[in-house]
Amino acid sequence: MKATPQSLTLRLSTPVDARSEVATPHLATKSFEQIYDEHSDFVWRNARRLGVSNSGAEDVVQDVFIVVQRRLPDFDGRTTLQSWIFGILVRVVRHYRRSYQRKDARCVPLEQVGHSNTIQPGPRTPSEQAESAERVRLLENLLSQLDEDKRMLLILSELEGWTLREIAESLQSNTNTIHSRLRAAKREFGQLHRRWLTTHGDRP
Amino acid sequence: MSNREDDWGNDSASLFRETRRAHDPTPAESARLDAVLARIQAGKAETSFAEDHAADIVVRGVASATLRQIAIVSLGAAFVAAAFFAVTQFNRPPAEPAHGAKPPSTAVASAPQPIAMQPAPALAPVPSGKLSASSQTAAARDEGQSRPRSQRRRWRASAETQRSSPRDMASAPEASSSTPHYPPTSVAMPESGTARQAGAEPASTEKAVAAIQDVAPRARSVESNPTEAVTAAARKADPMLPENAPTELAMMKRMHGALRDADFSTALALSAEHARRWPRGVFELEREGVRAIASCGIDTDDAALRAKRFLAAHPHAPVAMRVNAACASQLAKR
Repeated sequence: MKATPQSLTLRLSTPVDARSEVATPHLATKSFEQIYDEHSDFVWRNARRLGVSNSGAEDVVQDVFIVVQRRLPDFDGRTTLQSWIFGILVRVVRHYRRSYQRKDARCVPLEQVGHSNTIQPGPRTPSEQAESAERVRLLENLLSQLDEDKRMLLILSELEGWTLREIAESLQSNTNTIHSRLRAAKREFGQLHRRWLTTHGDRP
Repeated sequence: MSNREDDWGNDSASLFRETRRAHDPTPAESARLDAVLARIQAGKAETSFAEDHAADIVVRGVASATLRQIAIVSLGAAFVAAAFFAVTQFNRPPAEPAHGAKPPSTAVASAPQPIAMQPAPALAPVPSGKLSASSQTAAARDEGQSRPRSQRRRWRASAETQRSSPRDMASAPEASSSTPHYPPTSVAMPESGTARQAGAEPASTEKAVAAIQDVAPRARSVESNPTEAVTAAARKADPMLPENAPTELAMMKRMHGALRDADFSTALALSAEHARRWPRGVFELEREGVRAIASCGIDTDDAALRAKRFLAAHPHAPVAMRVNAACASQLAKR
């Protein structure tokens, strides 16, 4: 039995464009602009977590939403719109990574990613900001040592807070598989983190 | 369960928790995202991939995964074949020299003999770039003369293809020795002059080898240049360099930890230690703020003076507000 949670049944009331009216008459009403407003931050931060540099993230967001705009009529509502967009993002990032390997493109390995924007403004002292930036750098460094599937699972589960069911539907897998993969990903991440802590002492 | 499952501990969970919002776009990045939307809506935006590739981006990448696996298998097979070929070539016994043929006279000349049938015997050994062209030619000619006729013909054909002009064979050493691709800083080449001096080839080759061996220790001595060690030590000691920041940061973290635990004497001691190690460190300003706060916490005699001086000098420092709050009573007394 495939129970569909409320969050997964996306219904749009107005067509996004003329094609979507024909192809998906039941979908509706969020204009493309609304969809962009709701999900562009999500796409941006996950592009960065998947290893796209700060300068390349803008291009990735643009590519993702061009695909979204063109392919929205094909979206059948079986998953959440966010899951669907995440699937597009993953493939766009892969494309960027390949183009980086071919030439000097905009997607760089995580360890080379600039961290200039990871210090968030706020009422914190410089050392607290530096500490926070170092934690982000550590997270990115450890994530970069995992393979792409494990990294994706940890991002979705631990950083985006998705449920196993949402992840499974997004990745077109079943919940048990996702659960065991996630456990393996956590175990590997934990080992890397423990090793890092052992090596680097009391740093974050 | 096993210890392996415990690897995902509180540390890892808290690392994820604390960095959850770290990648959110900043206001400047949000402005860039707005510009992206404007471009897409204006129809000016283009993807970096082909139009029909958009469909592939959406559909599950089954085909690409299959192709990738095929490519991996093909590469593996090619690698195995190449390795097999290399092993068989390497293990092939060297061609016997003809009866009565003079054995190679020098070590350098005899060195490339197992690969003498390769197309570029004179270019293959590493020292060839350092040796003069005359010694290369001499060594190559020795090899050629030690071959049977049929092999020698093939060798000669391949050797001739390496030269720009077959007629230059006699003058090749001179021409090559003056070619610009020999760096001027390399070994002083033992110039052997013309091919008629082939009889002196062993001596010139030995000179070249000796010269190379003479240069090698000098090259090593450059590597162990003590100035590099001094520079490295200076870099290690420089607190302003980013690689030194983590240690300083760890100290600041301990300082803040002590403040949080209201352990002001420890915070004071740590700030003194910080001032000793990094008098002009990245967190100098913050250290002075912590020192003022800790002084006020203990209520030392100079606490109010220290706080007042700090606030006068750095009224807009991020830590100024905390100094103000921590030293309110001391400042009110004055």
